[in-house]
Amino acid sequence: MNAGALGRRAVPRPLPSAEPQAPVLDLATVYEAYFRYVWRCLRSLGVRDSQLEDALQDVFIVVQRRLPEFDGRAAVRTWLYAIALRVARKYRERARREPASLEAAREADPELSAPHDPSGDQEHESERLVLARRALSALDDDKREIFVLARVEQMSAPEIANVLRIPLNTVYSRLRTARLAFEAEIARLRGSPRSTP
Amino acid sequence: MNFTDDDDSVFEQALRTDLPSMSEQNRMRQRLLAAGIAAGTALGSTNVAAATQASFGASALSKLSALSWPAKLGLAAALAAPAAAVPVIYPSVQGADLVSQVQSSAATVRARSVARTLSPARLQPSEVPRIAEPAQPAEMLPEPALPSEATAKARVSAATLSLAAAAPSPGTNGSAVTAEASSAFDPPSNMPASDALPTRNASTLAAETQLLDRAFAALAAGDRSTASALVGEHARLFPNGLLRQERERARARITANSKGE
Repeated sequence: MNAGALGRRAVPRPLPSAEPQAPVLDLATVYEAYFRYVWRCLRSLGVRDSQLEDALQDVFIVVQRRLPEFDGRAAVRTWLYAIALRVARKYRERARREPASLEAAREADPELSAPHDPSGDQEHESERLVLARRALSALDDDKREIFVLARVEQMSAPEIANVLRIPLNTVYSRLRTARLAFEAEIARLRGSPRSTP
Repeated sequence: MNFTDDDDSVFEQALRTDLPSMSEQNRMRQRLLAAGIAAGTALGSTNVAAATQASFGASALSKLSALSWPAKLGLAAALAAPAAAVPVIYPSVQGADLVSQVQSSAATVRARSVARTLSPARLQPSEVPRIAEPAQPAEMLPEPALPSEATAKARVSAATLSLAAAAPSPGTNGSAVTAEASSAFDPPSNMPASDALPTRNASTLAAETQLLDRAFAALAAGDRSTASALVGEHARLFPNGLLRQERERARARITANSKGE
């Protein structure tokens, strides 16, 4: 008790007014700033289009519930992606348990579904997106998650380690194999041997 | 290892550009509002209020055409008076009633699952039109020419209820998933909750996001000088900003790119 008190006295804390004020977040702010990225993240992580809005709603329900506890020590984005990742896992598990349906088959094969927001001169890009989504869906869950976080959402290795709760070295090694698998799948889908860098 | 864009593939870029359209964002916002999630409340209630006021405007115009000439002259006199003297026209007062109805209805919906995020009081400063007390014009206009309070309330309630009915209850479909996801991730907790939310946060975070998005885009395009300038701008404007970690990451990537050349 005394030691603690002494310890606190020995290292005087700055006055509250001198501390940098962590900006206070509210749900509307988080939503406006990050909705698009959460949407993209869930889609990339394999949530079906028909369930995407349910999953988004779940994410923001959790965010709303947890936001008062958020202290700003982690980046908002990291925190959000951690929630989105876990929601996406549940939806993937649920989709695996559900009996196969025509819709499920269509969504499991993104090539069969129309590309998102196709438009005239964007056709080339849409084709790439379709290929990329098919390649993603061929990865196993571990590889897919790390690939999406690193290469799509562009999180740093320490952030990914924090979100996935795995050692940093595992992040590096898993990402390497995930990228190889992704590129191999792309090459397979394009029907050409994979070009080596 | 730094996840730079030096070996970025076009397929990864395609995945990154896969973002929702505005219509999808708006639809989701409405759905969150209907589900009682406050994220959609601020903008959602604005939309509802705007729609209500717009329909009211059309209704009021048609009603005004049926007014007697003395009443029209009286209204014209009121409108022609200087704004300082007569700052308010009668329909605005009714519009204010509608907005307050929308707010109270939205608050009722929110209360089902949200106890304490955005209070109606927070919406008022920006969303309720500033209206002075009605003075003479109210006396000049015959009452039947305008929709009654009951009509307005019914219209707003119908709009609110249709939104609520369109969305599944958060407690039915996704509740299990939500509960698990919530328990699976425990963010650090030492920040006290605050109901007094500064209104400038949204614009601050939006500005931060825009700056850093541009910085990352410049970095992806290989334009290090622009990226560096934008990161510097962010550091200058928001030294303790919400996205300071993202800023440092961008800075690290700029440094790594410059070393790679």
